[in-house]
Amino acid sequence: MLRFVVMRLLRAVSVLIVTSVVTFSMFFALPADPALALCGKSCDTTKYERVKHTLGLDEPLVNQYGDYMKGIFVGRDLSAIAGGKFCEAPCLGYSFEQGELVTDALKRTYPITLSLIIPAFILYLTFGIGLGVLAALKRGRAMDKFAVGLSLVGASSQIFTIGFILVFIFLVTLRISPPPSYTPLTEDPLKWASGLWMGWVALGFVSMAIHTRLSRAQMLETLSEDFVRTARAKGLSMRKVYGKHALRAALTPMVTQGGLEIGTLLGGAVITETTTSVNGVGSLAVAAARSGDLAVVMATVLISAVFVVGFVIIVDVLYAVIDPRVKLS
Amino acid sequence: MTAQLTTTEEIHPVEPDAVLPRKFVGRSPGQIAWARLKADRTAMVCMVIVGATILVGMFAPVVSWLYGVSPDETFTSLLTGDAVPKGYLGGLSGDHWLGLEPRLGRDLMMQVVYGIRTSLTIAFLAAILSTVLGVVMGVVAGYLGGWVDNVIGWIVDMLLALPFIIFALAAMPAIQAAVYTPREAPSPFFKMVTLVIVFTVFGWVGTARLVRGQVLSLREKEYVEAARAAGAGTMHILFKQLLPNLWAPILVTFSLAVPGFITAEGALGFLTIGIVEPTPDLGRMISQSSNWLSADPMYFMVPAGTLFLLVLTFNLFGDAVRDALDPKTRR
Repeated sequence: MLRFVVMRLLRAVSVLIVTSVVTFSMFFALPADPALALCGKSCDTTKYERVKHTLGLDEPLVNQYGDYMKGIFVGRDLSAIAGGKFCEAPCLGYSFEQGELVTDALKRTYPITLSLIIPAFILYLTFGIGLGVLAALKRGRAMDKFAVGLSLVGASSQIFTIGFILVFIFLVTLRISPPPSYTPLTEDPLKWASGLWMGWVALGFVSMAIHTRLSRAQMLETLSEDFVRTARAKGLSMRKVYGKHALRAALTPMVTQGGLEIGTLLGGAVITETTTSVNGVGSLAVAAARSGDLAVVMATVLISAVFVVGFVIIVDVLYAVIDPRVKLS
Repeated sequence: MTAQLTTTEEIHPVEPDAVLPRKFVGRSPGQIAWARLKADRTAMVCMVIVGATILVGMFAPVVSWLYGVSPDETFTSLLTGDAVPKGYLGGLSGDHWLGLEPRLGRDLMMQVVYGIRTSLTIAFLAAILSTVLGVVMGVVAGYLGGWVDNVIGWIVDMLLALPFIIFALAAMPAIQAAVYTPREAPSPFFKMVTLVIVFTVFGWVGTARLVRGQVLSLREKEYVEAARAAGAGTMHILFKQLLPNLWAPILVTFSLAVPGFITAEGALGFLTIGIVEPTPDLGRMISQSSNWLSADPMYFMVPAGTLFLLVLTFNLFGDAVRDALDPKTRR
């Protein structure tokens, strides 16, 4: 068990390192010149060189990468460009596009994206798995056909299409919803929800489909297994058979799917944010990638890679907890 | 889905004259699958639609010639002062079956036809390339095992960890910068190739994992052992012995990869990092239509509806192919 976790961690760390190297080196193919952007209007050669030196852009690529990675763990002195601020320990660099430290930009935008993703995630996981399990229990009946049809429509829809349809119906035509916007949850929960619900539904509806299909298929397979028949034969109530025995066995692949989706969710968040013009991390990353703002792209790619890699490990361990037949090796 | 029960009689019909001695009709798995597919009404309807769409995409210039309007032609005289098409439903008329695009006044029908062409070209190329790459990687990893398997598994891990859309956003301009100077406008063909490359690099992972799993169980089979005992080389075993037994799952992933790539291409077009003007693109059209939602909803509905139906029929067809190929499916 310990050996397994250590091996997985080592592999995860190596994946993260290579991810960061690839992202970092890719940006040096870009035409964007951060030094020139930071230099401002009254830019002459000496000032340009100075800015370039502060950014470390005149150093070899390897040193630049080293400085960046070191900054994540021990912090970095960016006071010359970041308005006299020392960049504290998880220093992810300075965004010349936003004119602030990347950590500050992320602090500003992450709550927005999380407000979009987490409720959508809970929503579609509950509805997706619920609908799939229900469809499996009522196989061949109206409920099943409805669930299968709905998941097919969901799997074939695009987040932006659903988003625009919602905007068109509820905002343009019926005028019963406020335009999509972000208000902090702590400030006004009602405004928070009414400003984000379109994003939740658009993101949730499209992502729900795969869970409905998966949980339906999984549940059908489990229901035909011997141990379910045995449980029924020994006189357990249907509720117990389904709820305790069958669902638990069918849950494993569903958990895997959920864990692997963290990365996809961030991609979904990019589209959802663009659709509903709510500007979170996704929009920040899109703008950064367009303008060649390496620090921001690097940070978003790394953070989501950390999440995905972390979740894969957690899922692997959870596997063993949920399903005692699985041996970690 | 039709919930009919396919009995064995349907697959192996007993001929009426064959009472004694009974004649058995031998059929290959492919023939059985084809028979099942033919019996599935949804599948046949989808197949016709899919085929027609592919033809429309392939022969878009012919469609344009028959229809009498080219995709670049502008009909600004048919727009009102606010640049919105005159008449109802976004300027629907006998000359312009799906109306006009606001502002530029291009014919929406032609934009959609050429948009389908763009979308299908990219999706099919990406699906073919990523399936081939995925199969080769999966077969090699599964059969050879050891460090090869570890390396490929590690690459898979890395690709799964990268957030596709953000990475694609960053990669597209980087690849462009490597080929063109900032002042040059990239050709549409180059953009298309870049998209296909990005999709292929990220797209093979699923196929590779699936094929690897299959190969892991197949390589222990007797016929592989027999081939090995007979002195067959690794390449022969991999591609002559194992691969023919894998075509069913490969076909299924391929047919479901196409709608996946259509969606992904639409998403990149929507984020305006995909195909650029003047090449028509469904995703980009939808993103542009957002400013006209209240003035001209048809401008949104036409490309959005097309994209939805395109993905839906491909998905339905892919599902049908899977049902037909899966011996376990009961219908």
